[in-house]
Amino acid sequence: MTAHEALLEIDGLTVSVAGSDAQPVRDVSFSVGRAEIVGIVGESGSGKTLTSLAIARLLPRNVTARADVLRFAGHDLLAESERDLAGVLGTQMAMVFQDPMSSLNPARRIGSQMVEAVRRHRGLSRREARELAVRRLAEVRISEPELRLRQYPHELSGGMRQRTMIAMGLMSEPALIVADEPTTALDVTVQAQVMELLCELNERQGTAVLIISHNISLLSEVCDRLMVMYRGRLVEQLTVDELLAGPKHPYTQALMRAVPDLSTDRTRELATITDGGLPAAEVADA
Amino acid sequence: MLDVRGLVVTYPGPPPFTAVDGVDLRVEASATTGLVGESGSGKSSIVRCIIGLSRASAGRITLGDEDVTNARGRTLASLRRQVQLVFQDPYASLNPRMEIGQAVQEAASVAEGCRMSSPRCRAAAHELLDLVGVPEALAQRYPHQLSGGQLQRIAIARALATRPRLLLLDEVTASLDVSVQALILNLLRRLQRELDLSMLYISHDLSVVRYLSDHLYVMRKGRIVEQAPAQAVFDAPRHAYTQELLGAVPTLGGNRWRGRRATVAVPPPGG
Repeated sequence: MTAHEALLEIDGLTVSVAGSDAQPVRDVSFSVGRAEIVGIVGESGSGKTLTSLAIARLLPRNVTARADVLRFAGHDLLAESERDLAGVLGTQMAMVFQDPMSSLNPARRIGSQMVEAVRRHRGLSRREARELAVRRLAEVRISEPELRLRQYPHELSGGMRQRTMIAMGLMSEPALIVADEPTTALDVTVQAQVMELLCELNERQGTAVLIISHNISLLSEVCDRLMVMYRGRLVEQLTVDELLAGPKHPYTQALMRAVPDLSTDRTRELATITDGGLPAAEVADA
Repeated sequence: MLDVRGLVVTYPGPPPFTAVDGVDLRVEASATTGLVGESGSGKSSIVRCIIGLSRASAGRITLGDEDVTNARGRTLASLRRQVQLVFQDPYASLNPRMEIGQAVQEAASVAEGCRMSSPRCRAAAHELLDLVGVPEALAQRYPHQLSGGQLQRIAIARALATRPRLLLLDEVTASLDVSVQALILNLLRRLQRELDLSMLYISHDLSVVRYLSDHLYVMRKGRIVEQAPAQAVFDAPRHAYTQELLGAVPTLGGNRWRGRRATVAVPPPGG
């Protein structure tokens, strides 16, 4: 692949649910360049999580994705077999989810979970893999990494678990980290540490990051570009500078005004998002 | 109107754990007092103690002129008419088999001392639904048929049934979408004005607390580290922990965590 080719390229992604007409993601197209940090912002039901799961081929069984183009690191995610892709997705793409507990096996030590993928996909020896795991834990600034390898997930704090998940994703030097609401369950000070870490990895190793969040302010701080999703569609793509200059789409404008920040006028009501007279997030089931 | 002095809450162990360690806190009438702090700082333990869900190990809680510390019997009943608590997860506090209109009637019947089917109770429930902006048409739905925002409105309606003077709001918008959060925050402001309520608003979200609060307390590891008029705390935080908290809040267009300034050159979308 050439230097200018996108790392991840998606054209016309549509996700549908078996046995229903529902299309929770409709005709979504975007790309992520090498070493780029891109954000997807949206509320619940916007399709942002399903989009990320479709990219990683992790959709639930009754949900299917189709697209005109779905390429990652030079591989056609639509044409190649599950088996061929397992190596690519397992080593070059790392997933970080909101709740690290749900992706960590509570009954196994951190160490054995961390080395599993590199042992299988890269054929490292047990010792090499453990040495690598210690280095990765140290890189995400986890204290006493040797001790952590022998601990179980419940022995770590929430912030440490999330950093462990990131360290685990970094074991095979991925080209892309897909992080779905990685800090939503964390305190603001821990969130700041995780964001700093993602930015540092991006800068130091050129790891591209696709970060999904409901928090437009958070994304504006770390991303090069933002994509705004609303009810399954990508309604606007813009750079952070364009966002700050004033987005074009009314939904993006409303989203920015609806969230109080540290400079919101306290004497005024918050702007609400309306859709046919009903609040957007309540309209679906009203 | 609410005065908490030297409150200590120690949960029996083993090992015993002191969640609240000597807290002084005042909630003024007709105003919103904010309480911020990270998880495990003891915020929820304070509110649980105020309405008698947890025991105070030491200290004194007074409501108006009445000592309500570890209240029982008639004092507890009177306390819970005057002070109501709304939690983060409205679904957990509603009976899944009861229509939401009934759930509000139930609260009204307890508060008014009338039968649930009585006209007085129905009228009270109707008025409460109207107050929180839930259309009458939704009254026959069950909790799982409503959105998170609508359920939180129902939880607020039930809390208002006793015509409380003080609402304790514990992370009430934490699990809501941002657009729904805006609706609930606007609702709380309107209710405060119309009903002359006092509120103690607890959250880990500093932006939301700043927006609502007149006075602010910052809590860490069971202690209050700073308290002042809300604007003063945000304009000039004195305690290092408050500064750290404020420094971690994401702001639109901030650039704290990014090492590089330059934007990466990208190929055109889809190309």
